[in-house]
Amino acid sequence: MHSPLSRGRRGKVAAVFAVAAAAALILSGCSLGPGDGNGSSGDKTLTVGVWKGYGADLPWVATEFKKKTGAHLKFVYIDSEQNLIDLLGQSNGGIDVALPNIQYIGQGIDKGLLHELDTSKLKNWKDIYPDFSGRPEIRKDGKVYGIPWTYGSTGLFYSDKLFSSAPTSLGVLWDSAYAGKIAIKDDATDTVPTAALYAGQDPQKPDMTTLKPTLQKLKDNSKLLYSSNDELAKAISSGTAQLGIANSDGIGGIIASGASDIKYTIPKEGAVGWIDNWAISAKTKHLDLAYDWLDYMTSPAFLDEWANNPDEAAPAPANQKAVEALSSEAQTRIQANPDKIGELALQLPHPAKVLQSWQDTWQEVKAG
Amino acid sequence: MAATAPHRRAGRSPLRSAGPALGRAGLLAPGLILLVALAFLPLVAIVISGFLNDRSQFTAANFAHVLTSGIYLKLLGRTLAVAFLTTAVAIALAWPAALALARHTSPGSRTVILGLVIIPYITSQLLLIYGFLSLIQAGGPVSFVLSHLHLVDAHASILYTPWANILMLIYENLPAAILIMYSASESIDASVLEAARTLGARPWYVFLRVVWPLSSAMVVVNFTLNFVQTVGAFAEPAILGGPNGQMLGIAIQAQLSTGASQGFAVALSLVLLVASLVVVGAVALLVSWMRRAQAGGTPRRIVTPATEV
Repeated sequence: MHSPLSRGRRGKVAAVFAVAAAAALILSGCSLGPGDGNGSSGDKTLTVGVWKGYGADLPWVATEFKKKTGAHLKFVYIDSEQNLIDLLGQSNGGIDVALPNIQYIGQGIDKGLLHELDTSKLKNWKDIYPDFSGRPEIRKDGKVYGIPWTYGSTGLFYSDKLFSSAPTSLGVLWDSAYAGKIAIKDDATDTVPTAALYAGQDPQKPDMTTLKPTLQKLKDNSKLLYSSNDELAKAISSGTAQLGIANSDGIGGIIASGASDIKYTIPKEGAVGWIDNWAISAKTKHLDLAYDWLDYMTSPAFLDEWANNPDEAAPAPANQKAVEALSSEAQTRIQANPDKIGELALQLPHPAKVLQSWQDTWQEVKAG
Repeated sequence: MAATAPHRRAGRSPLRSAGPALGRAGLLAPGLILLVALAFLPLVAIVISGFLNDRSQFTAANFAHVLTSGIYLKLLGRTLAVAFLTTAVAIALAWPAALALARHTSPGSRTVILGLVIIPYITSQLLLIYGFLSLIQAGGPVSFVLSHLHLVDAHASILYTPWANILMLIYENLPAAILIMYSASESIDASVLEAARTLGARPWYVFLRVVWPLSSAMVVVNFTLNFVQTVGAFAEPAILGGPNGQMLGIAIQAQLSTGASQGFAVALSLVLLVASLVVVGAVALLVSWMRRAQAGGTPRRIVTPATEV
């Protein structure tokens, strides 16, 4: 027996449950699940997980790839490397190919998210610089899970209005004579290894206690901590930033867009380096198409067309033949300098605890 | 007739009697679905992930790290202070403008001015930030004028200092603050103000005793909307604030992008959320207390002879 009041309550509870169930249905419907890869027209579609505006999504790429394979491209944009690994896990095959860098590809391999590559099927594998294709980070138990695509460094940029000759040491960033003219990437995974290189420590295993005063001095000397190339470009164009650390491809784009006084160099202590690799999702339903994509992306045809357009700020190709086919002007612009590969302190995988200690120290320095 | 009504109600079918409840559910459903799907469920998921470590084990370590770390508490304090300051200044600047708009402008010019106020409100936030950056950067219009007046050096600029961030946040808060205070000002009956004045009240007294009590609820609404939005600011301090203008939003973004503990980023966000709610609640209580105190406190209970023993 129920009173009218309890019936009303039951109605409200039922309504709330109905709403919650509808919401759950909406959410489950919105998930990035594995489609059949076919568009409404029945054409094949390859889904690519990548940074926005990073070569793969250039308009002519889709045209060329369709010409070669008849397939369409769909892009899932990421906002961090961790985001890419998380999306790969959640998509359950919804992403076919992805671009993890060397610091994060190990996570994808360990979680079983990546397909073991058959290097005999990769047309450009033999042309990848051995320094890159031989990296242990793209392997597990002798099996290969990624093909290196591009590489770059986070080195020293400077204005030739400030220096009559190129600075050779990272020490200029700690020189109070340049205080207030320096721009630093606001990223602990760049600042900590850079400071470690300057302090003569191992950039992979810095002692954070002794490195903290070095980081503090670097921050005190800085005018700008930037998180995007756009911010850096504006600071350079206004003359505020005349010295600092920057990604080789980003600064290449800024120089190409008219900042002719800006130069880039890898100092004697070395520079932080990174390698981006194409990998195939373990759950892809378009394996052959995914191999076609890896072949196209790592081919001199694509890499050189990308590099030859100064507006695109392309990074240096990991394909030796692609680099050799470029003019010396283009090689200089994109910092494709094989001699310097050995001087790069690559951003390698670290346990979350180590990254957290870097992050905490950098935050402490910034909050100080 | 009166006797038949209960009989008719009693004879309604269960389906018909469920009608009003279903009607209410139908009206509430769109809003509730959005609230549950886009706010409640994600919040539950976020809270759970805040209690997970990198091996997906349940732990309170992330929150312990935030609450025992001087670094993040310092950043939290700075963030709350900046958000409080910029919200309060925006309201203080907006209020006279809103009063003038409501009381001393013609309907035609009021429409134009309100239109101009709304423009930054509907403009892309990044566009506003970069517009502001171009304005205040070294060599920009402000620097050009001030240096030609020999007031500052040609390369001087407040860009990349905490002040640039604070000014930008005040600027971003102003349109909403003006619109809300305009609404509050317009709802005050002009005859009440006129009565106060004809009784000899000075402008400041009119403001304290008439305008403030009638607008204080909207001040709280204004503070809540702008403070909550400002406290999570990330782009403004990152682009304009320079090395010393950091806020907690940047730390949360950096935490997520560097691949360090995701759960810790969630813990930072939730601590910021709770701290923001505490500040908003404190301001609401303070304003309510001020209103009561101004009205002479809570009305005394009428003491009846029977209780007065």
